[in-house]
Amino acid sequence: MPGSRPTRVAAAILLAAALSPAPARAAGTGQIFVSNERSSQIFVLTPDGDVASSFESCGRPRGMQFTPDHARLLVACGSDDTIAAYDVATHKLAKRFRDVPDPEAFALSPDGRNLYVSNEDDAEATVIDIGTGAVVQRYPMGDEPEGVLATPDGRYVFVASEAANLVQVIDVAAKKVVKEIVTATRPRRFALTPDAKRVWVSDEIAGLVEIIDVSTLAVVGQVTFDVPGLRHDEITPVDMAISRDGRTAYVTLGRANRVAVVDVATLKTTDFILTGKRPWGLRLSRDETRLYVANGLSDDVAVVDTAARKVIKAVPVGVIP
Amino acid sequence: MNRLPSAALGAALFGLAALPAAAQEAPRVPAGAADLHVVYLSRENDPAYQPVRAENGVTVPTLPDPFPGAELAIRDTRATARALDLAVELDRRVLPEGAPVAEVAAEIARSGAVAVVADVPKDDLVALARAVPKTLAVFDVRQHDDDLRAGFCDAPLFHLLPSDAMATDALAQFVVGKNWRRAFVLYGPLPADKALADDFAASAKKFGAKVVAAKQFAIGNDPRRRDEIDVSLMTASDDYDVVFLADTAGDFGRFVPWQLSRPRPVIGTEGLRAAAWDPLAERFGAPQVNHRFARLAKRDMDNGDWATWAAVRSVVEAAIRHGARDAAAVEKSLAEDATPIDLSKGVESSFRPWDHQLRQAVMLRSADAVIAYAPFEPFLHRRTPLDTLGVDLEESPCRLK
Repeated sequence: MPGSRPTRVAAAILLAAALSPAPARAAGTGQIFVSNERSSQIFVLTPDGDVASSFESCGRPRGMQFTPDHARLLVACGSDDTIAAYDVATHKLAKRFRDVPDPEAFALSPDGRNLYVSNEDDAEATVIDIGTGAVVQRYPMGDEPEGVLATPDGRYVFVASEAANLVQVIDVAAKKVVKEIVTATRPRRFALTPDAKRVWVSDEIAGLVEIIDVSTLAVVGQVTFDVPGLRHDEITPVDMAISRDGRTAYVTLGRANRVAVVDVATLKTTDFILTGKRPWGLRLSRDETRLYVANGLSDDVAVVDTAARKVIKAVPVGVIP
Repeated sequence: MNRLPSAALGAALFGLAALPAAAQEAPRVPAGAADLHVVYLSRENDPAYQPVRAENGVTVPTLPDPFPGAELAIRDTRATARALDLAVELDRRVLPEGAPVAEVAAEIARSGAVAVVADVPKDDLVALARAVPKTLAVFDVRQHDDDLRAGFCDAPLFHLLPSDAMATDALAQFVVGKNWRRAFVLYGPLPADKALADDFAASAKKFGAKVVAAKQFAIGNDPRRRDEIDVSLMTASDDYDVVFLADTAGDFGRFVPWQLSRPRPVIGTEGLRAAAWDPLAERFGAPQVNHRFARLAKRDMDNGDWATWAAVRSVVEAAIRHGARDAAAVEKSLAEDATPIDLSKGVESSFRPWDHQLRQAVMLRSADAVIAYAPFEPFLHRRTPLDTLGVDLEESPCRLK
């Protein structure tokens, strides 16, 4: 229903252990970092879902990612026009990349050198050299670019422009957009299958997920969500996580207040888990026994037992996680 | 972007207010398969955009020309259109004062335009809708009168703004949701005021509110007519939870919230008002649209701008989703409810196939915030909750084709 979702906010949740294949000291903690857009705070949770600490962040923290060594946490600061780097251990601001207009989401190149940032207001993707902080490249995008994904082979960067219903694919070596894929309504975020062969893109308003084949850059399938008792317009998928074995995907359904469990092989939805009001961001724990879901409209993080497919805990965090 | 009309279309027929003569001689670019032309038609010295003088000397802001909304839609869709080898352009045409609109209709149809955004007075709109071929979509981007929705079932006339019935339904849903079920209705001297008051009465009945009294307000100082003039006196009778005010001229209404005999909220044309759009909307990507518009037009985006933006986006969406490349295909795709359009109000919009009214969320706004988006959760509909707002198929004189 209209009214069940505030400002287009990017609920972001990050799990120290889950995101990087590189073993690093910080990664071993299994801590979960949750950004809160409205209260401009980052909450740090233990793997069991207890609040370990929280710290004041830059303005309107949105997308987050760890550096490959997990020493630093990069945060897109929507209202400060910066990307901030926080020391993961001390939560101190280590570095700031300024003059990044209204950053929403970003991806780090596999070598950890370049940041690909979507600038929502300027309909642009900018590439920042992490070492120097300089903007090394700009790509014009469709309107309101949001999700960014870099393929692990370093070949492509995918950018979703939500108002333009467009996914643009940047060939990193050629430094140009090599493919423009028209999607269903309001493409938001990406997930990559572990074999790196398929990119999933969530189409929020259309209420489905489209599957893009990385070798042909063509849409080869889609996932629909038929939640019993809910209408089509109450299903607004945003964030996705795929298990390491490539079998199971979890998709937050926003207005439907549920996370969908999807069988990756058949692209069929097998279950729905009620998590809280307007779930957007989610991450799996490293051992994949837990799923952490940020609920933007109930200001909490749901901890889901993935085996039982039930919420075992709801942790209050800041405002609009 | 604002491509000038072709010489073939005849400067003699249209005239082109405020455009240099040389520009009128520009060679015509034929509308190829991937080159869509949308006509933006307006009327020279349109009274709607003239400065307004209020009776009591308070100046009402002049309504801005909503053309930048259409321009923004072209910009917003350019990347997607380009990905499909499609170019969409606006042909802006201005009708000289007094020139009959009907003669222009056939010319526009012949020009190969795929649709007409009709930013014209109501009588021009009516004439245009009757004169164009049934395969050429005409977008009404200004009117909210219910009679236009009921009276043109067979014309290719598409309405972007919420009808009055949708607006009062949205407000009635809101007050019922708050359990402010007893409404006092106060309406002004204009026929439109009475029509709006009647709309609210119907909405109240539809959703379970009750009109405890409906009184007409007169403007004047005659003490013998104080029961029509003195708001305090008029509102001192039976108790009520909320006042619905219908003052479409925006004349006496500004004072009413402070003249009531009881401290009650005011809705309607004052206080909480229904709108298609608001520059302060915070949800569903609206801030981004508002920001882009403000950068382009150097002012806030309002209802009219949103309507022209939504009209052009609808055409492009039909071209993108359904490969519509000519007027007939665009009209068919929109009329058959086949094209869902994301208009940054959280739910997909589309045109109702019976009366071509855009189904959409309706914003309820105060002076400085969007308070809520209708429809509200308890009100359900078998098709979509959006169809709880306004005239449904069964109530409309229009039928599905």
